[in-house]
Amino acid sequence: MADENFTVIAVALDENLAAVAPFAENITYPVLVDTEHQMSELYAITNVPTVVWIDEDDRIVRPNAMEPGSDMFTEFTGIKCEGHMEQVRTWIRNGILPDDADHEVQALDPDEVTAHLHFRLATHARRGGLADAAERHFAAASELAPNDFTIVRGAMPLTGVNPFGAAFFELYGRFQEAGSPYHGIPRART
Amino acid sequence: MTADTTTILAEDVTTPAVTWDGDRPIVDPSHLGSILGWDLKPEGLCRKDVCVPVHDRPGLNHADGVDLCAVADALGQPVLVDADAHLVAIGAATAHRQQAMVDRLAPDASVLDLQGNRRLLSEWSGTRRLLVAFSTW
Repeated sequence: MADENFTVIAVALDENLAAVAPFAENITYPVLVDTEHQMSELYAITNVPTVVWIDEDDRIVRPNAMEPGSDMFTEFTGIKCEGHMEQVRTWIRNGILPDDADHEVQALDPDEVTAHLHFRLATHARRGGLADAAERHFAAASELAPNDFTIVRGAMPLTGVNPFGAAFFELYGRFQEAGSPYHGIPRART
Repeated sequence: MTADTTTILAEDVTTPAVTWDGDRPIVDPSHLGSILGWDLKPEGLCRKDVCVPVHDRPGLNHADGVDLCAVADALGQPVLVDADAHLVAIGAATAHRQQAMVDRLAPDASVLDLQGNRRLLSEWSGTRRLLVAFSTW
């Protein structure tokens, strides 16, 4: 669909550009990094992968939705990728949006916003060698936004915790118990 | 980063001269433009040709300059201060964030490319696009 005035813009919610670089190999669309967590704050992105459809006039025509690029985790998440790709093709070629496109996303609440600010302070403190301050702010961020994966899981590699280990499953369990809160289109398991 | 340098994380990251009054960062009013993108003018806080009136103008003033927290407050921007680490984080204006969700206008945001250059999402305006947030974690 490259010739149809359409592009993907991939934005990693990461800090380390070198760690993201391998993901951009052999990819023709722009790959960017939201090191300051500004995009996630403005778009209320609390988990990945989150996809937002934006038209040529900068309108959000379909808001935040969890849409994996492959079916690697379908068994885990219940979300399949082919349905989404077909919906995107229908939008680009025929201008038709899926029924869930008018879902209104709630902006981050004040605690979640404060959590973002703590996270940002923490990453800068860490970079500046202020380990104690970094630890304090990462902890405060996770406490204020316990179900925000971009904060709780995003902090794991920055605090020496394996983001694919026990801490992740603890987060996932808590998230499910809380009713899988997400700022975006709610997904039923398929 | 030393104890004498204060880093302010707003839309941009700046390290202006800051006088600390307890946990209040005080800055020179002429630095507000580079710190926050808003200049203090007689008509209020202004960015390009947009001005926001300041209801409690004296409340911004401090013997050593202007109170950055009070200025951010006047702009409706949330602030988090770590006076010990000399770090200040200032978020996007609450009304701006909420309005984007209601108006469904894609907010612009500053990100980095893989070479470390600052880029704006608005560079891709005029194209239909999928914004895909992903991560290595």
